[in-house]
Amino acid sequence: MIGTRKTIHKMTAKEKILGNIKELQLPSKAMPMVPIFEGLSDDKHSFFFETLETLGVEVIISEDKTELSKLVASREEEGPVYSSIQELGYTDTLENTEMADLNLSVIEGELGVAENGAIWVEGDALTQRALTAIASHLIIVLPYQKVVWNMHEAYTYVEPRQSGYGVFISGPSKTADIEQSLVKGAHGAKSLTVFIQK
Amino acid sequence: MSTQYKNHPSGAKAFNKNPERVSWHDKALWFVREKRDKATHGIPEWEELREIASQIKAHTLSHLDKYLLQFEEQAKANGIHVHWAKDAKEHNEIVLSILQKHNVKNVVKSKSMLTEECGLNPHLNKYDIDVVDTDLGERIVQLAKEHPSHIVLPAIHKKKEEVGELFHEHLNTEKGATDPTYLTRAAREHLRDKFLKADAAITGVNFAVAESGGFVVCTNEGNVDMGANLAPVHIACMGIEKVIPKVEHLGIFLRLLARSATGQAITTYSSHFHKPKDGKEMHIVLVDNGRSEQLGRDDFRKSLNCIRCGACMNTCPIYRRSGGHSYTYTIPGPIGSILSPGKDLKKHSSLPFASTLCGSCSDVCPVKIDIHTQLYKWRQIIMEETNYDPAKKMSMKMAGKAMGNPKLFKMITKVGNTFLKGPRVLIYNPLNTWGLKRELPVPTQTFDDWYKKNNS
Ligand code: SF4
Repeated sequence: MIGTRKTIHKMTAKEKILGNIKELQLPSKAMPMVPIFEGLSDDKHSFFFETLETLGVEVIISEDKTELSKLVASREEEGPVYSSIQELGYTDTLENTEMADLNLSVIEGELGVAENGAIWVEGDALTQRALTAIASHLIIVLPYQKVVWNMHEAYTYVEPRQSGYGVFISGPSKTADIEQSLVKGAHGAKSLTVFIQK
Repeated sequence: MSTQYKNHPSGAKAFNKNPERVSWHDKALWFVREKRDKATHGIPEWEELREIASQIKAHTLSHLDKYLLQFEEQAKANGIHVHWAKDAKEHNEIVLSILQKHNVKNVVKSKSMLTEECGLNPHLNKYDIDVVDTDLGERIVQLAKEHPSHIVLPAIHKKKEEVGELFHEHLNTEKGATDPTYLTRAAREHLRDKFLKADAAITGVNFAVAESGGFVVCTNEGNVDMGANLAPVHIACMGIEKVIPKVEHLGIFLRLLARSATGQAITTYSSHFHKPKDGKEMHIVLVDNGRSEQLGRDDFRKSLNCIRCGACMNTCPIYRRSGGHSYTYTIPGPIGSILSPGKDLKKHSSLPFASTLCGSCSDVCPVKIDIHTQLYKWRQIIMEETNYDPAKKMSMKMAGKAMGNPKLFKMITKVGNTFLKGPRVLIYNPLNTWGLKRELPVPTQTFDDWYKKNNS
């Protein structure tokens, strides 16, 4: 009995799958080059802001350093606020508030993409990863300079592996699953405000 | 479960009993198709993107073993558990064992056609594990005890009155309520509760990146970001064809996917997962289930390019007028009709005939799958395999249509020139109930050798 176990090697699924593929000996096809495609107009910032507006995003462009904190403070009465930005406060909200009860989450965006309005958010910069989606309303703060044209350019900056979890967000959560009627606020934020700090 | 029709004609016939619904369904999908057109016309390099995407897929498929190994190695280095499943059964067993190890009772799932393909939900239910589909459309069909009728718009066949009824019964919404916003809000509350209670989340995968060992999931609703980030265990299930070599390739695919699917420039959430959060677990199940076999079929290999955008369904005149449930396979429409015969030729033998071979599917496909040519080739095989009435077979030998396939065209014209006035002798196929007296071009013959070569 002993010994037979060794002689009969049961192939693992991995060995079978890879074996099947190898056996085919498919001729190699070349990997294409990916060019950096140019932008769709001369002004990526206006394009970005317009794209966001068509996505139902409120855009605030501000040179005033105090405006953001005023804005957030003004919404405090609606319900609990969380923020990942030290200077704003609210970073310790979750110590005595359930995440699911948050009305507003204020987080930082790393990069905006003009062509599609997507903003890269590093999930692990937040106390909890679900803070990208769980609060009723979301504000993403993005420095004015951090806008690129398209996804090709975006991936030359963004390093998803370093983030653990990172997400491009391009508007309030939405669905059109009931007769193709667009409804904002499916599971994630019901509204998105992008605060552009100049 | 929804009725599983014996073949496409019987499903189409059932759907066509209600002409009003047919025209409503037709219009709804055509509307999505038009949004797709508008979105793609805004991108000057659209055709170049499609070409590059198709080449990336061809390259990856020609080195699939290498990229899968690289992906596994990198994912493990990121702290992700990697599993391999030869077929649906192994996939279901792996998922079950992970869940049992963690004593999981409540699972939230976000859209994954693969788990539909594998029949995961019923399998887990047998072991007293509750699985809630969290995509709104999928939740609707789940409550209705049906299957998705479309891969991107799972409940496209449902009217708001029907959704209202379902929600009244299951979510306590007001009787007779049909307002989409009201119903969506009710679903939001209902599913929030499920997210917060879930012991594990299962998601699909849109793209897995070999060089970085992570994966990307695209949604509009944010259900992936809720589910996977809240639950202690995240299991992502993917077909082995979902791997791409590099992070920079995501730029190509993400520009193509949502535009092709719904006419959006990008989905609301494009979520990139590379490492589990401290104290949590992340698993990936790599599933073959017939894919390595399809990879070996020269004429059908390209079907593995598919990024599941659904554009070929929205544009297909047959799909639009017969509905997703008329197909005998989990993935309906043109792409399903070229993926399924390789899995069960007999069961799905009617699907390659559910087409006018107009080629619109191939035109819109973002990864340039020659869908209509493959449909045509499956027909050849099916004609050979199923004993068709010899007279019909004879007439089919004369029928043909050039479909951008020079070799085929040459053959047809060679065989047919004396019989045909131009390459367009068409036959009427008694099977096609999706449209009255539509003509079906079904050329045959030359593929005998091809079939032998590929199916030995
Ligand atoms: S075959 Fe092409 S068009 Fe159809 S779902 Fe797949 S990628 Fe989209």
